Amino acid sequence: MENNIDKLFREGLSRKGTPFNENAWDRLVLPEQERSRRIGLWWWFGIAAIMFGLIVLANYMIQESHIIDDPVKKEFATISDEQDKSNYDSPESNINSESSTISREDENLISNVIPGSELNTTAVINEEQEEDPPIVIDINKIKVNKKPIHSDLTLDDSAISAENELPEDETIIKKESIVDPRALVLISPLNNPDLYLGSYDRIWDNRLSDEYRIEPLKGINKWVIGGLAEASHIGSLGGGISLSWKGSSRIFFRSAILYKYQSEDDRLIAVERISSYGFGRSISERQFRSQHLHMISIPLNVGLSQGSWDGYGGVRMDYLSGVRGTVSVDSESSVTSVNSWMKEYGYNRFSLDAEIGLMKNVSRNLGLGLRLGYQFLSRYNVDYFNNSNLQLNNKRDINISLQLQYDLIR
Amino acid sequence: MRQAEVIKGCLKNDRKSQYELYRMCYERFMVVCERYQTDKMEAESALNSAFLKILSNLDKYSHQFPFDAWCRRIIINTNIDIYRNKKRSDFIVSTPDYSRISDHSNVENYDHHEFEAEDLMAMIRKLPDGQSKVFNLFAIDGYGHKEISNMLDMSEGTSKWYLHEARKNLKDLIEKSRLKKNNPAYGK
Repeated sequence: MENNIDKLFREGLSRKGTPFNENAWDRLVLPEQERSRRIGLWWWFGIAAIMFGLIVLANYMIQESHIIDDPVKKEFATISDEQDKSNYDSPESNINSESSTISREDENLISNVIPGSELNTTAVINEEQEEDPPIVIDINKIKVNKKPIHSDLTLDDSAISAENELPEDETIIKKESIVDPRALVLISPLNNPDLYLGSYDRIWDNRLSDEYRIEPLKGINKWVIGGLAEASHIGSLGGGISLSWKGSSRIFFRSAILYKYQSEDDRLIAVERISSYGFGRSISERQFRSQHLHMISIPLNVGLSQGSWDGYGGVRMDYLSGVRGTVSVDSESSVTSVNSWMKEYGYNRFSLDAEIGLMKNVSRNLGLGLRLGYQFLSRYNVDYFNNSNLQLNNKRDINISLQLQYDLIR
Repeated sequence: MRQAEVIKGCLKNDRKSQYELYRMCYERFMVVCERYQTDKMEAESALNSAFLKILSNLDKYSHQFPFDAWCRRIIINTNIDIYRNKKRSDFIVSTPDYSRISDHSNVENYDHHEFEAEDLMAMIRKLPDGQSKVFNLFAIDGYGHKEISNMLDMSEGTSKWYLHEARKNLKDLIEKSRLKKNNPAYGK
């Protein structure tokens, strides 16, 4: 005899139909889509690797370009080989006249060799003249350092130096602008809004990220405008414009607007469950999180340079929008393996951080820095799919990041 | 589109056919997932997982069985897999012998037109996890205690005990629901 409760529920529920929900179909990522998404991820890795390669190549090429052209090398080599000793004692003694002429090519060389106009000349360059005019240099104002001059004259800071006797603001050989490529490697913890969404997420987010960045800089007087492209091995790609100003005193100002996109599969937190049940059957399930982020940052910093130290402080505004989901892989379950991507929630965040930082130039190109950020204003809006919105306010945390900066030219 | 054409299209990875199959699965089997899961979101998630299994195993489907029954079995298995993964550690470790508990203790008559399907679904969801799964499998989906004990990794006695408890709890919920209908002030 059949139980009446069973019958009640079986027949009662058989009447229930569920109208189709188009959104459910949109959320379903079919295996072939999942595959193409993963292939897309490899593209990100590829782009990051190419950018890193470009940085290394650019670094190599710039070092190569520092070798001085042959005619000049010969000219200086004669002096350095035969008369260097007397030069040390009295640099003016081996020059017959008080004035000499050098070609424009040489003048360019000197300006390149000694940035910051260390060579003081009274040269006036007439741009309208078709032929290269002789340039008059006051030899008395050249002081040669009593250090050995290398015969091959590869550019070395210690080889030649001169004291600047003119006021700081007076530029001897003026150029309207300079272009200076710069490459940076930054290592810092990944700033992620999900840090506050639970302990599970906290584990997921506490790890280092790295960024490889190229900044072509264009300087106009004291203003420097930079283009910026960056990539990270975790799959982020971004770009933007930076603006900085350096005053005659040691004060500087920096700002930028940056956009970054990140597509990330987080295999580090992959949860693997293996269990056995009845008749030797077993199930293995792996899950890992995945997310897509769009981020816009606007930092505003004022700083002070002292020797090889740069200190700065300011604020940073961030807007972030993203969607997050789970990819699960089952195997040996009751049927077979499956890959699926399920959206869990979408979110956006606006935040305002106070930040201070200190950077030490440990060598000509290498800088080592520490940045402290404190989020004093934030607003999250988390939309769990098919659930109500959740708003989280003013979650505060201190962000500490170590920055390793490598400049191609400094 | 006919079912055979849809299956054929899915085997060729035709997106439109996949959509049609998904639509069919959703309308017919979402109610099954809703019975096993605690809310609509989880039910949809379970349905999607099951659908992907259906899709990836379509080449193994033998036409001598009804397609609906084949899909239904995959969907139920997927729901049970999800439940087992979530609640594996919550199961009773040592169980007393419940094997003498009768499956047919209830003799009261109920009219299924008396209750809306949504009300019945809500009652099932109010049951503890183990009870609702055993009740769903036994009373609605027609599995035997031996199969249930294998699927949920428990003894047959435990399965019977869960069923007994589920029926008892459902009976109480039905009585409460009746009282509420007859006397709207009940429970306030």
